[in-house]
Formats: sequence, structure tokens, C-alpha cells
Amino acid sequence: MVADKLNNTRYLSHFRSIHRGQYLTEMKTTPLVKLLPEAWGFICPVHTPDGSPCGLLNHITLSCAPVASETSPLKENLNEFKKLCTELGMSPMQTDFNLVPPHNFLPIMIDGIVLGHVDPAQASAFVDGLRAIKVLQEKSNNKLFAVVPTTLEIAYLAPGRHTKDAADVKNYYYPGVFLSSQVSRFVRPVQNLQLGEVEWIGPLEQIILSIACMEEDIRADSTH
Amino acid sequence: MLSIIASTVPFADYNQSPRNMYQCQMAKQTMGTPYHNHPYRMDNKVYRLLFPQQPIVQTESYKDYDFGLCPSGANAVVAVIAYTGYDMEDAMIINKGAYDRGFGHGCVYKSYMKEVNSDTS
Repeated sequence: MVADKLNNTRYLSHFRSIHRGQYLTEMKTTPLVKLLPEAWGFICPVHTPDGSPCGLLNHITLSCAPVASETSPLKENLNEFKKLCTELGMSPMQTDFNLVPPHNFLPIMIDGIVLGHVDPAQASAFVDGLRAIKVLQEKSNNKLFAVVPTTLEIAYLAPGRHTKDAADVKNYYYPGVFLSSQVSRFVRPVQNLQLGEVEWIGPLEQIILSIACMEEDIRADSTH
Repeated sequence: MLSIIASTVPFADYNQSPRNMYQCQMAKQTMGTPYHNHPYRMDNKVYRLLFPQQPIVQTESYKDYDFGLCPSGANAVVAVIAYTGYDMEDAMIINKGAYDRGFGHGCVYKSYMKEVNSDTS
């Protein structure tokens, strides 16, 4: 694709577009052109060409921000982060003892690495605590809190309705706490109702949050 | 929740949804104002609208992103249909007075390469 400068809008949208690959345009099937719940707010439902690349050439939204750099890479502060998670209720992975966590414990993954496990009864509190640190860390003076990036994606896929056991659910997921901190992710700012601050959320955590579009859409179970 | 271009569509919530998609497409095809630094550029071919105007209806993000600095068209007074009916569907009758005053005028800058031999001067 050539970034031609016919006008400003064209030039601009070249840099905000995502193409899903030439191969898919030749494909006969169309499940991939769907705009799924995780894409809501990240990819524009309107701005896609009609014709063959429809739904395959998309544009990111106004508020969507691709994470291009990490201010303090979590990878370098993994031990501090592990300590913080342990304080929040995680049983860390032990390398020197071969301790096996109880089978019902949920894994906590950070960028694809199993960091530890958490008791399902405490998982919700763990996630809430980690989320509070993520959102409020800029206002806090606690050095330990600063290891948590503000763009950290905290996806708590709770066991229950959407797991494989529920036969009526088509799209089940593997339960656990999935954290993503690295680059090449989309994040967007939303207002965290409980904490009263702006929180940067990612696509995976969005599907388990309850986000209201407008003030009047806020319900009792709304989180953002 | 919309992209930058989609959010510059005025009254998008009163439109049929494909119209908004077509507008996203057409906004990128306009021959408007490509840039403001012409003396410092060496583009092969550049199209420019000579008398561009900002739209009289603007959305918040149109203002936020200063699209008014690179306007891509002109505000036209449009009749539903003219007496003869020669402007039906995709045909158009343009007011001669408006045309003579420069409505829709554009220009093309084309760059050519010329090698100058210093020996023969």
C-alpha cells in the first residue's frame, strides 16, 4: 500500500488502518469479517471499504491507542511484580520445590508465562486489588506499585458460565487470570466507576467488564 | 467508538449505515488540500482544490483534529431536482455563475525531471 497524499484524511487513515492479510481476501468464507465484542471501541464499525476488502481492511477508533513502547518494561521488574502479586493472594510458582497447586486453582499468566496460581475464592479480590494498583499507581507514592504498567491488561476469565463444562456456550474459554504488559496491543481509556479514575483497558479484559457507553446506560453491575 | 474519519461525518446518527461507510470512502477520495508545504516538496503529481471551504456543519472531532486547516470541499447549495430533470441520479447541472466564480476549480502540479549537462552549458 502506498501512503499517497491526495488529501489529509486519506494520508491519516493509512496510518490508522489494519489489513487482515491478502490471503483472507481470496477466501470464500466470511466469519472473519465479523466485528466481535472484543473489537468494540478498538475498531471502527463504519470505516471499512465496501467491496472485497470489506471487514478485512479496518481502521482503529479515535480513542484506541496501540501500545508502541513500554515506559518501564515489566519483564525487567518481574521479581517485584511477583512479590506484589504474592501479597495480593497469589501462590507463586516455585522453581526449587516441585509444588503442585490444587487442581481447581486458577493460573496467573503474564505475557504467556505462568507466574503462579490463585485460589478461585480469592481470585476476584486479587484481580480487584491488582486493578486498583494499575489505575491508582500514578497517584500513589508506593515504589512497589510503580512496577505495574498503566496499560496492563488484566483479563480475569472466571471459571463458570463460559467454561467448557457449560454445554450451551459456544465460545468457551480457559479460566484463569491473563495479564498482558508488552507492546503491540490495543488499549483504550475508560472511566473506572469504582475507582473514579481513567483506566486503560485491552480487548480481552473488555469482554468480561460491563462498560456503559453513556451516563444513562450505567446499571448496577456496570464497572466502567 | 468511531474512527477519526467516521467521527467527522455530520449527523451520522441520522444516516442509513451504508451512507456513513460511503462517506468514509469518499472523504479519502476528495481532491482537497493535500498539504501546506508545497515549496518544500517534490511530489510527482499533486491535485489541489483552488477555493476550498470548511463545512458549515462540523462535528466535535472535526474541530479537535483541525481538519478545517485542510478542507476537502466546498459548501454547495443543492436543489432536489432541476426543471429539466437533467440532473437525475448521478447527473449534475452546475450553476454557471458559481462555475465562473471558481466553484469546484482545481489544479494539478506535475513535476518533471530534467538533466542539465554542465559541459555544453
